[in-house]
Amino acid sequence: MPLIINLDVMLAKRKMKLQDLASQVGITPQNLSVLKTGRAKAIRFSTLEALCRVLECQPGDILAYEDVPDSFL
Amino acid sequence: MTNIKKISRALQWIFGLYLISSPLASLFFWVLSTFVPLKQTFMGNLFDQGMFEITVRALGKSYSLYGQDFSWNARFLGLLGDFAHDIFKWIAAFYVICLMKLYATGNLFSQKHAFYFKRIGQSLLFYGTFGLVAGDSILGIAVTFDNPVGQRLLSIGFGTPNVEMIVVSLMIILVGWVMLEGFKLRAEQELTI
Repeated sequence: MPLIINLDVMLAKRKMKLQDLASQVGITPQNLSVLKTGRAKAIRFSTLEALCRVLECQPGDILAYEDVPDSFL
Repeated sequence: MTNIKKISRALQWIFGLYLISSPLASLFFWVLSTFVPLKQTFMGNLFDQGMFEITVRALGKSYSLYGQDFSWNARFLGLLGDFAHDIFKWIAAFYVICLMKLYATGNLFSQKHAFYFKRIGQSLLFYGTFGLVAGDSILGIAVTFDNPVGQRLLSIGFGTPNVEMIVVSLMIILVGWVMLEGFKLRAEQELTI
């Protein structure tokens, strides 16, 4: 997927555990794990807003886009 | 155990029984009844009282096969016709059993459910289009095979029972498709954070 999730980077920078972030954002650790592992299909603005507020960062610090060229196999 | 689990287990047994007894009944009638005349069995009494019937459809009419005497060639053709007539129903029954197994374990909604619904619909569609037509045609040949040359019958028909089965099967395929789309939507919602 071209979207890269840098949630683990932000967690390390803020020295925060996934469970603590999940409880402060108001979602389950399992749900947050889905986002962290890149399996999420969509993210609500309200969740992104809560993440940025708790981690004191910008959306671009959590989400990055990298154009992946088609591989010839 | 919840109601759906209880009923699903019961339906598994019922359809399983049908899946085993239906081919055995065909085999018995066309092959084994040579050695055990049907009239002299308990089943014979039931046929005499009109509680059971074995018929073949030809030229828009139903003809009773009970009490008829057939040659081995006719019996082989009859067995083939019966199997051709029923094989898609047996496949549909098999998939119903698979579906009931899922319900019996408490699994109420998954991609497998949609797959089984689709397969049941497809099996019944093939039954309505090929099974009924081919089976009745072969049975028509079978029952007239022992007739003198010039009095044998090949009848290929497509009528109301076929159309009804096609409509029902298309409805089941539609239900399966809706279930699959619903499952995809649910999966997407589950992966929305």
